[in-house]
Amino acid sequence: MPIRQTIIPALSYDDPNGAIAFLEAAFGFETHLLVTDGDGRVQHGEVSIDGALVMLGPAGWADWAKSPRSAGGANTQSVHVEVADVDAHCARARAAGARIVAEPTDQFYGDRTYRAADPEGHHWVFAQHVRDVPADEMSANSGLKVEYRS
Amino acid sequence: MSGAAIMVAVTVAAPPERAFALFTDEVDVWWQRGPAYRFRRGNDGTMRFDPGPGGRLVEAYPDGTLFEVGHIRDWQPGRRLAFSWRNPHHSGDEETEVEIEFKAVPGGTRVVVRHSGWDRLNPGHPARHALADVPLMRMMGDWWRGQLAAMAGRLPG
Repeated sequence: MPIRQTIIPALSYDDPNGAIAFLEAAFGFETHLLVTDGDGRVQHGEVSIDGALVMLGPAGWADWAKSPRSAGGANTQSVHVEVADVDAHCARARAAGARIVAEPTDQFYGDRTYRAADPEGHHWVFAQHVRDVPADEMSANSGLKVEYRS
Repeated sequence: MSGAAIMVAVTVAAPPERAFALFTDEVDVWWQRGPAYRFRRGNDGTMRFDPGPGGRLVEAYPDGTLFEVGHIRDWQPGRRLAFSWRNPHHSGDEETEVEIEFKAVPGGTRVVVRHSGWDRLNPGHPARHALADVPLMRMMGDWWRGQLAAMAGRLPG
């Protein structure tokens, strides 16, 4: 079955306006929809990178919608984004003030990835596919049983 | 206070001068038809910009009548366009404002539409569809996205 990219992460920020500026400057997202209220505060934003979408909005509209900043830095999910040049992407993010949580590293499954935290503590993984790895090799290299279906 | 606003952007596969011309010269081609898109029911009007500073955006009907959507506030081909906007049921002081920027980017032009001025409509105004600012802006965002997708679809790639 072909994979369809129809699952869209939606992130909560205490400062969604600042978050959008950061996502553009550090991670190379393009904003293509903003809904702002009478005070100029973003109430709904949609940003994209290579055609993939992330939504964001203000924390606090529901009691479960929190920024990691007000949840002790906890993340219950992270956003995984495929990019064309992960090292260049990391350099840009670092220059724009992103906290690099894990430096670019080749992973046993054939991606080169790094992890970054945005100003409110959302964790992002950026990945570049660098090598096709057969399942049995992944298993041998990781000590885990790897199965996949395409 | 900037007022409730919507911002919608699309990248079109053309340089900024061409994107500007597409937006303005070909408005009647890409501006969708249907009660939600044209200004009067019946959808038999033809839209056009009377270009340049002091110009306007109008919809002209076969019976010779014409609806003036708004006045051009800024006309910088290939860079920026701004015009006022009212619907037929808006009174004179209920104009909203549309600003469009055309920015060269790899692969074409980023067309960024910002539509503001909704705070000039009183809370019970029919153009609000009984919606608060934010849901109204979300609706307008979807509306503009449909329009810009139709416009971008006029170009290859």
